[in-house]
Amino acid sequence: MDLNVNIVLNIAAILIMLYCLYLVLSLKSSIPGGVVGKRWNFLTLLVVLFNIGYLTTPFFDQLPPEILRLIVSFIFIFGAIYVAVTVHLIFNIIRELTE
Amino acid sequence: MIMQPDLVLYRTPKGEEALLSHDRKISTNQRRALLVVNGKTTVADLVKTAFWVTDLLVELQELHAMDLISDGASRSAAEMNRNGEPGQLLKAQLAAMAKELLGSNAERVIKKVEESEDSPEALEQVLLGCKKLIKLTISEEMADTFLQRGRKVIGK
Repeated sequence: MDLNVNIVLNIAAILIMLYCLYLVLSLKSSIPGGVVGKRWNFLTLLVVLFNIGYLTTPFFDQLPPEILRLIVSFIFIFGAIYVAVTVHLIFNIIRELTE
Repeated sequence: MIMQPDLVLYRTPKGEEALLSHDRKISTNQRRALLVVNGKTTVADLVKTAFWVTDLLVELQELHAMDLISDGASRSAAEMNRNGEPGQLLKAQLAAMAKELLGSNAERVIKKVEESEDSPEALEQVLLGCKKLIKLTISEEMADTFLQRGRKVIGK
């Protein structure tokens, strides 16, 4: 039962992350530059990295524990960077709109 | 028509339309010449500054012959006023300016300008909105230039 829940959650996470990748790529042409455009390439790169990381999750039980911990650590650090960049971007957008 | 050095040329509504519709009846060089015509700069100054347009005087004469530019802002404005469309003229000028500054990224800005009311106050509000849009999604550097030039166009 636990295994099934894990698989379902993993598949859901991968699908959501693929949807995020589709969104960032499709929005790219609408944001050629400016405050948002400058950060968009970096956010796209992070989403690509997340996709790679998430796609490894079905193989976690086949990976050595050291590699597994390393991948999880990378996902955490890039996740933290992603949140920081996004919050900073929202801060800049709100500041610009309320000027 | 002889292009006198002190002559101020102005794009006619037909000229504005040709710019916006990517009219293929005019060459790339003529389009460049049409873009530098702004209703403020004299022919002599255009010749000095618009180095990227080859044979500018010849192109201006041809554009005038095609009724895409006219000699004097007051005449064109008067024509538009007679038609009861002064706001439309300002909008066309703002749209042409957006196209000139932002190129292929000007579509959303032009749409906002076209959807605005015709009064200068409403157009100024739209300019402020467009400036924010440009700064956020197109170019931080171009945003202030757009606002300054836009305010000049609407006389604010």
